[in-house]
Amino acid sequence: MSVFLPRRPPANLPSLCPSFAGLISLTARRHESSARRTTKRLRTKPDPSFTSSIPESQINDHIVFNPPSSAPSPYHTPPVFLPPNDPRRQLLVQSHRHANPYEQTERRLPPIIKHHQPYEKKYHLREKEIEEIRRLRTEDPYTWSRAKLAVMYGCSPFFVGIIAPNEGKRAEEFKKVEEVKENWGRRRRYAREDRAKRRKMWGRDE
Amino acid sequence: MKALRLLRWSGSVLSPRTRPCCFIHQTQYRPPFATNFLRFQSTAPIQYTPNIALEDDGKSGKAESIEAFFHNAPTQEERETILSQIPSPPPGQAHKSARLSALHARLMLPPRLPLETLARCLVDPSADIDSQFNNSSLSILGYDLLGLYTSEAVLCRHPRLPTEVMFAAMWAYCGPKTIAVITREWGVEVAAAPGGEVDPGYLQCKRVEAGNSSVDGTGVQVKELPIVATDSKGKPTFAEQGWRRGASSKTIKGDYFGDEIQRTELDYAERPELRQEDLQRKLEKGVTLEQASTNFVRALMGAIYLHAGKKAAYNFFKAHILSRHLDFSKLFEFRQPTRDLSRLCAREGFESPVARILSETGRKSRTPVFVVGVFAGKDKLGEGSGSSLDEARFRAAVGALKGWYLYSPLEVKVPSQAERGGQWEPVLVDGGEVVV
Amino acid sequence: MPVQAIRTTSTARNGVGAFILQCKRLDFHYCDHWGSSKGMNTFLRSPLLPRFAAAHPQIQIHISPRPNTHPIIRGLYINGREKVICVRNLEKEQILQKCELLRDATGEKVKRPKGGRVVGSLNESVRGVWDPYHGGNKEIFGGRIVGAGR
Repeated sequence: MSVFLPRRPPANLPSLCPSFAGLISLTARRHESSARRTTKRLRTKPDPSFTSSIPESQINDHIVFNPPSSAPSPYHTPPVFLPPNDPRRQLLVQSHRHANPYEQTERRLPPIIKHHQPYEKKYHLREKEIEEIRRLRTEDPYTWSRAKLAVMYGCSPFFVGIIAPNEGKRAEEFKKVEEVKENWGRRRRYAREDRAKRRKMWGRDE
Repeated sequence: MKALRLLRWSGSVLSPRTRPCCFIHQTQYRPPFATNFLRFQSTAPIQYTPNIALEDDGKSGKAESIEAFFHNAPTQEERETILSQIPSPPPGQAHKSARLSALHARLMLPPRLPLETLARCLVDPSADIDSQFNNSSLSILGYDLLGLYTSEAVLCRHPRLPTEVMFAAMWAYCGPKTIAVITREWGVEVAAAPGGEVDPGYLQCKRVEAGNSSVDGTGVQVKELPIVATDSKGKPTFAEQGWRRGASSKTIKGDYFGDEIQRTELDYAERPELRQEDLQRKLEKGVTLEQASTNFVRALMGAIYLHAGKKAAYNFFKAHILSRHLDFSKLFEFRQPTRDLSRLCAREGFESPVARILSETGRKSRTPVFVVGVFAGKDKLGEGSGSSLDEARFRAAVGALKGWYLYSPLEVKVPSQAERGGQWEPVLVDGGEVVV
Repeated sequence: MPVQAIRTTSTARNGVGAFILQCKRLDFHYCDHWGSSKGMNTFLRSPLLPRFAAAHPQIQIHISPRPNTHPIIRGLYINGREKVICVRNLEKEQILQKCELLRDATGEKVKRPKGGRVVGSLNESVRGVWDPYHGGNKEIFGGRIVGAGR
């Protein structure tokens, strides 16, 4: 809570009174004349979160729920993660409606980052089609890439990779990437390495 | 659960000189079997010189016991000669060491633990190969006790911890590195070289040669020498064979830190000569300070259990090991948390997780900040912030997974509490970590 | 590999479980001839020292002469440092006070904590570290403030 100093009287300004500038202290002094203004400034209103929606009669008979303005601690288990027989589960529901603000009908959920298409596994490919995929992929792996086959047969590229792995092409692609990396200069290589290190720190929560 | 009366059949573990009674009736006490008490020429690695007039009592052995020798009031010179020839300080010296009794008081050890046993705990097998005088047998017991107490404390308080993290938590509480630190914080000093004349208050071990010390004054450093493969090393480790070990292999075949056990009892049963070979190698090459302190703390734990009972052992563990601070949330390292979280939600029957932007600032600036929450339906599972949407989503998933794994029940009673006279209560057993 | 673990060590909190007195050893040095050792010599002969030693069995006590110098007390600590106090011309009660000072010290250099209100705790605060993105935020949809977020 900050306390504001009373405005300096003009006599204290060094530019107006150069000879006394060194003698007069620039720190604020409390005088009878300024006491009223100082105490008035100290009398601050409480934060609205402490007073709102509480009738005067219940002012001393309520619990203030003021969540901390900090990131949640990993030691606070979210209510959904509590086992059904944990007493905290009931307590959280009973104690205050703030346990989950999004349960209220008027609260909207925040916007989603990325809308994924709901993907359902269909399990529709039979032995014959799988043989066909394998044949195409061994014949010409560059024409029949995983993505292309996946679109054609309505499955995921990951599944194509499982049923028809092509080690030869994989090694070749790796070699190509390695060759490109060989030509990188110092700055680019360092930048990439640093980025990988930073990414590793995400998982360690550093 | 029926409690074991370890003290009753611990005679084979405790050598007779370190029974509790010998602390009380120190002068009157005589061992029932003199043969147990003696340090024989055949077992002691160094021979006593014949010019010391040790009485030969014919039947029981070549040399009289050291205790009896001191009892006969030898001259100062004789005393020093014999002390310099035995590998570790004799038990009788324990009461003369201020350092040892200061250590006993500093650790607030139970009064039933005699100084002789404390002195024995400080003798590493690398200093004295004789298992009647070193701490090897006590440290085996202490190793198991530490494992039991730590694992129940970790697992009952955090029943959902993944196996790898559980191993890391065990390692953080009672791993060799931590125990070496504990030994230092207890103010235990290490003897420069072990021997009978050394104050028994020092940790006695033969130190392995430093990597940067020169070989015979040639200027070549020890670490630069080629590693000579010894034939007695046994089978190659999994890492040497190029295998990556999974959690189940670590659980079944590893110790309680998930590390591979070099020698199992099965190996020793197959080839009994291995045990002596291993001991001999330790005696020749020495051990690191970390290994010696590990043996000491484990042996002390075992000694307290044998002399003062379960309750004292658990209290000692609680005071010195469990009271240490460990932030469990810093033990995790996730590679693909978003994938793990969606698998977890599918397994537990929640709606599939969706990342939503809670707040953001400076999207088009050089330093944006996004705060992203992961939601399953209307319930927020976790939250994270980052300078890109990808990072924030990743961190939010990490937060949600930690929220799941770090669940801790409100009131826990560990199983060993029932053994110490409490009521046994079942603890939560979780379905286990997410398997992808 | 779903989750890997990072190996760390736990940190000590002296006094939370067991309390380890940081003073390991006290060395008392005296001189038989110099007058500055008069108080020290009476202290060593008085019952004060045995009483102090009996009250603190975790401290080793060494007494040795150090001729033709002022008397000193040297405290040795678990962190490997030592602290020396010269007790010339002090009375025995004052020397006992110095012993207690050495007993209570940690062996660290005496430092003034910077900032005046330094809190040294391993536990995180109940309300966490403040950041500007939580608490009192306003939710905006289409340029319209719809409510307070948290």
